[in-house]
Amino acid sequence: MKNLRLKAARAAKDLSQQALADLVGVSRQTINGIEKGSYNPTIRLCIAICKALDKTLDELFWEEE
Amino acid sequence: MNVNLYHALGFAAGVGVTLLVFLLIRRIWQGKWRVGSDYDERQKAAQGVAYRNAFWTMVVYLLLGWVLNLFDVELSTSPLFLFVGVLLGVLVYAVSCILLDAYMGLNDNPRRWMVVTAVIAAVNLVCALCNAHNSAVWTANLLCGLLLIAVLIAFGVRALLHPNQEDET
Repeated sequence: MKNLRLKAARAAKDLSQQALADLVGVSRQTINGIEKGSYNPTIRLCIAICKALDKTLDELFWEEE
Repeated sequence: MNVNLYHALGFAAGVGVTLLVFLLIRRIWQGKWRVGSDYDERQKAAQGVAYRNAFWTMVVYLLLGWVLNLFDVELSTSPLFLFVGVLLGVLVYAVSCILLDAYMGLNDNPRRWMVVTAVIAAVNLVCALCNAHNSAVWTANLLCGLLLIAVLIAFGVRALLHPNQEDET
């Protein structure tokens, strides 16, 4: 499932995938995979992304029923 | 001293000099004594998949050799057969990593890496041509050169399939 909330939060911060990837220390393809839903990140990476985007885990990664 | 000892000493000296040159080049390029690439968590997981692909490829290849051996095919017991098996495993691992975007580390420069790989491939192929009279050396150089060219082709195919655009979602 695509993570459109992550993409929106990144766009709101005016960050490219590469810029966010550099901030959290991963490759651009990893950020792309998370946004596309093809890769499930570890909790450590989720937290790093949330801190970089000033969001909570719920706001970015919690899936409603 | 016998010839084997000279051979071993020469081999050790060659490995040592190669290592020193490699470290020197890294020092010049990166400004620090650093060997190895950094990979993120997705890349490490993808490398695990690539290892698995390479492992099963080698298992199937060796089983094929075993079957050939049952039919008294000499090829399956030759060192060349085993060498090709190792290279096949390496090739599957490299191509799998490339297709999964897990070959280049976060701190690697792909363009520089490709230039170095192309040069090494060319050197291997030239060595193969120069050693055409020595079948063992010729085969090893030729196969290594072809392996590196196949890896470069895999990079090209990957780039064509998924251009490195900023936002693919």
